Amino acid sequence: MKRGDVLAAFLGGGLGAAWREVLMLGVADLPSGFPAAIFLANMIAAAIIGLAAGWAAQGTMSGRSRLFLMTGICGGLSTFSTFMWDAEQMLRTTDQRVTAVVYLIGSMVLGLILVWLASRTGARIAARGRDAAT
Amino acid sequence: MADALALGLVFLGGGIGSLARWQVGLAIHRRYGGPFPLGTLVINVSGSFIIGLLCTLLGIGLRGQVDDEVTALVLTGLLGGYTTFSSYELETLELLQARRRAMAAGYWVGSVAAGLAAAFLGRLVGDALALAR
Repeated sequence: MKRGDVLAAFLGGGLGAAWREVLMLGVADLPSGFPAAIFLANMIAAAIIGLAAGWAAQGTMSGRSRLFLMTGICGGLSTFSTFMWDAEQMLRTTDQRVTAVVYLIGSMVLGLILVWLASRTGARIAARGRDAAT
Repeated sequence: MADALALGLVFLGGGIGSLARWQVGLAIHRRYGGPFPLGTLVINVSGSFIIGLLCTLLGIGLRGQVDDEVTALVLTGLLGGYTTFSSYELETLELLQARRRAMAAGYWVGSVAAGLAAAFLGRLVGDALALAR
């Protein structure tokens, strides 16, 4: 393990998690109980990781930048554990069961669409940058 | 608690959790080099079990207080940093793009099904431990 790689993953993860905390402090649940802050954190992270992956596939991205941005920022900003725990708790609450299903399927579907669209955008930006450089 | 302290604890936990995810992912990848994203699945399912267990033991219900030190460091920081939603979706897309459609669907739905089951199991174990105490 190189020290710079450890630092990149640690700093990225710390910054991403702090970003998620800021969203949790600033964005309230919807009246239905829908966990808007975590949903937003996961969707932003899906868009950023898509951009980064599209960029990395077309252009050049160092392993350390990848660790900082994708493993760190995106991994730290997004969460699966809170996603599952909130959904599990909502599924057990009779009047939140429908919201839980919307939350689960909505996160899965929109996250996948965002990562797909963002990866196309990232690849296009990287290709344009490469063409401009030659 | 001041928001600044909570933010610092979340940063610390998130950094350590991300390092753990990176290393666990690498270790699993070295033993199993196949196309299935086993590393992320193991990480997300184990993280879901631990959050169910800890929240039950700590008595934190539906989206508990975000201004508590333990919540900031362990739940929001460590577990939030350890588990990932972004890699889960990216790996699903990559499997689809590699034309591994059945594997993609299995991973996409299976991660959530297994994560929910793990959170549920964590809660059951937490309840049993709380009763035994």
